Amino acid sequence: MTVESISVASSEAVHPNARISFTGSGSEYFRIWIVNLFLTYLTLGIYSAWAKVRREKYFHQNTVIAGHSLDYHGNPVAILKGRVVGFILLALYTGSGSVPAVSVIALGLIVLVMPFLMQRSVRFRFANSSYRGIRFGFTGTAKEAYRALLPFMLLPLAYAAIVVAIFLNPEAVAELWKSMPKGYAFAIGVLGLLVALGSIVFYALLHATWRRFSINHAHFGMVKGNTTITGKQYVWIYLSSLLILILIFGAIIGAIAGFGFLAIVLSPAVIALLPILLVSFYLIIFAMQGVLVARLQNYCWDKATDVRSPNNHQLAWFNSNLSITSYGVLQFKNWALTIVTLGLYRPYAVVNSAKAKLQAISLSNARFIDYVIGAADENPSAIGEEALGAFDLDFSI
Amino acid sequence: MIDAVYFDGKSARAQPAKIAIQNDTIAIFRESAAPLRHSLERARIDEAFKGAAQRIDLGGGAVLEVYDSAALQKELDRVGKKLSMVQSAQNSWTWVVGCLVALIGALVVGYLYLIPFASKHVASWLPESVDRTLGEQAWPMLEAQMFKPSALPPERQKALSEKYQKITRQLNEPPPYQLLFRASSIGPNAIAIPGGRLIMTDELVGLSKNDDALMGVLLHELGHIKYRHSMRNIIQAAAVTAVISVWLGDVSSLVSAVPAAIAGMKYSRDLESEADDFAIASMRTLGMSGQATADLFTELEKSRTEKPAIPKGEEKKADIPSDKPSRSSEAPSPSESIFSSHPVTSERIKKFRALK
Repeated sequence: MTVESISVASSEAVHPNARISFTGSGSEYFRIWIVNLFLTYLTLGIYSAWAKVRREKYFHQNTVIAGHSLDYHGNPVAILKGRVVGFILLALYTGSGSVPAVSVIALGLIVLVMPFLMQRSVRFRFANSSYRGIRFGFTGTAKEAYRALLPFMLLPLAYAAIVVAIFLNPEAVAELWKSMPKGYAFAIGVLGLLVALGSIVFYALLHATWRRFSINHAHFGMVKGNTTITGKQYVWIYLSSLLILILIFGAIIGAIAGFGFLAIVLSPAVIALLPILLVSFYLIIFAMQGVLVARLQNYCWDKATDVRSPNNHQLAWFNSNLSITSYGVLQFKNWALTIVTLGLYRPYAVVNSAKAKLQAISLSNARFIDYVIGAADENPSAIGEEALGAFDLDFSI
Repeated sequence: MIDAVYFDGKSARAQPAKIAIQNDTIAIFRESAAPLRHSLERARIDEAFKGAAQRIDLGGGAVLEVYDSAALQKELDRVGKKLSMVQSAQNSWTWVVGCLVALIGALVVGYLYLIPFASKHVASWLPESVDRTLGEQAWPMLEAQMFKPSALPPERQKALSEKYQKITRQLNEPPPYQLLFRASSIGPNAIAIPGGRLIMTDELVGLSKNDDALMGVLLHELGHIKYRHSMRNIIQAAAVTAVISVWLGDVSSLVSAVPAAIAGMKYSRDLESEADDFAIASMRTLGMSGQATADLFTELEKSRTEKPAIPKGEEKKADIPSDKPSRSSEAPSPSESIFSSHPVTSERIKKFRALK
C-alpha cells in the first residue's frame, strides 16, 4: 500500500474566513420526512424518536464549516424517554385545561421545573453534536439555570397564584364581575393591551437571557462560546418588528376600509375574497416573524458572539449578513406554498430556511479549528430537550 | 480503496486517508502514520445523504468521513452488509410515493372513523365525575358573563319545569338535570352544562309558540349529556391537534390551530346530529310530534338571519341549541356552509318535520 496518492481537498489548512454552507436539498429531505411521518403515525408516535435522529443527522451532516460538517449523536431511546415525560406533562396540562384551578396549579409546577428542563435540553443538544470528531459540550448547571431564570419564574408564578386565589373563591369573582360598571370595559381593554406588550417584553428578555446563558456555557473541545447580547437590544428588535407589523396591518385595513367598502357596494361577490385576505394576514405575520428571526440572528452572530480560548482570549468571531427582506419574503413564500400544498411543501420550506440562515454566517480567523483538542465526554439524558419539545418552546441557537 | 478523512476523536485535525473494507474489518491508511484496523461489526455506518460526507463512527470518538458513498456501498455489498429497510425506502421514490399514498389513506380513515370511534370509547371509560367537575368549574364564571336572572313569570317557569320533569320520568332518562331559566346576552338558546344544569334562555321561551317545541330542544341537550359530547369534543380536538402538529413539525400553535379548528367542524356537526337523533327517538317514544320543534328551528333560523349582529364581547353565535357555550370563533354566517359546526339547518328541520 502506497500512501503518496492520498490527497483529499479537505486536507488543506482551514481558510481564515470560513463560510458556512448547507448542502441539503428539499427533495432529498422530503423523502426522509415522508418516511419519518409514515412510520411515526404507524407506530403511534414511538418512531418519532428515531425520526428525530434521522432529521437531526440530516441537518447536522449537511452543515459544512471549513470543509467538514457537523454530526449528531442523539440516542433514540434516550429521546423516546424524554418524549414520554414530555407527553405526560403535556397531557396533564391539557387534561387539566378545562378545570381552570387545576390547570393553573399544573402551570405553576411546570414553571418550577422549566429551568431544569431547559438546562437539560441545551446540554443534550450540545453534548450530542460534534464537528471533526470533537464533541460540543455545555457546562451550565441546573443551579445556574435557576439563578439566571429566577426573575422569569416569579411573574408566571405570581399570575398562577392570583388565578388560584380567584378560583378558590369563584362566587366572589362572579359578584365582582356583575358589580363592575360598564365604563370599566375600556379600562380592561387598555390593561389587556399593556399585558400583551408586557408579555412581549417578557419573552424578549427571556429569549436574550437564555441565549446568553446557552452560548456562554457552550464549548467545542477546549474553546468556548462567548456572547455579549443584551436584553435591551432584544426588546428593541422584538418591539420594533411588532410596530412594523402593526403599521403594515393598519395600512392594509385602511386601504380595505376605503376601497373595499366601495367594491362591496359595486359588487357583493367581493366578499368571497375575504378568506384570501385572512390568509394573507397570516402570511404577513409569518413574513414578519422571518424579519424578526433575521434581525435577531444578525445581531447575535454579527455583533455579539465570538470564540474564546480557555484563558478567555478571542480566537475567532462570527459574522452574519442575513438579508432581512429576502428572509421575510422567503417565509412568506414558504408558508404560502405550505398552505397551498396542505403541508407537503413543509420539508422544502424547512430546508430553504436552514440554508438561508446558515449560509449567511461565517467564522473569521478560523485557523484555530485545526488545533482544537477534545474535552472529557459527557452523556446526558434527553429528558429536558424532549419535554420542552412537547411544549413547543424553542430556545435553541 | 476509497478516499476518506479520519478524525481520531482527540484533536480536530483532519487526517486524509484511504480506506478498504476487508472481510470484517475497516482498514485505514494515512500519510506518515501506521495503518489502523477497526472491526466492521462495531462500526456504525450512517446513511448516505446526497450532498454530505457519509459517516462511519468507529467508536471511542474516532470518525471517518467518506465522500464517495457509492464506492463505499459497493464495498459493503461485497462483504454482505445491507442497507436498513428504512434507508432503502428513503432512497427509492417508489417507496416514498407508496408511503405518501398510505399516509394520506391512513389520515382519511383516521379522521373519518378512528378518531370519532376512539374518542367515544375513551369518553365512556372516563368517570362521569370528570364531566361534572368540568361543568361545575366553568359554571360560576359562565353565569356571571352570559346570564341574568330570568324575567319569566314564576308560574310559566314552573309549568315548563313540570313538563320537563314529566317527560324525563317517562323516558327514565338519566341524570336528574335541573332546568334553569335565564335572561341572556346570547339570544334564543339552550345550553347543557355537564354536571347537572340545563339552561334555557328567556329569549328561546319567548320565541316558541308551543311547549312541545321547547321539550324537543331540551331533549336535544339531554342527548349531548347522555353521549358525553363535551368530553368527546375535548378528546377529538386533542387527537386532531396531535396529528396536525406531527405533520407540520414543531411550529407554533398559531399554525396548527386553524386546520384543527376546520377539521373539528365536521365532528361538531356529527355530534349535533347525534343529539338530534336522540331527541327524535325520545319524542317518538313519548308519542310527541316533531312539528313544533321543526317550527321553532325555522323561527330560530329566521331570527338568526334577520339580526346576525352578536352582542360584542361575546362571540357566541346565536344559534340552535349548542352544548358548549364557551366555543367561539366561528364567524356567524347567514348561509349554510361546510364551515358551520352545526348540520345544515334545513336538513335538521326536515328530520324533526318527518316525525308526525
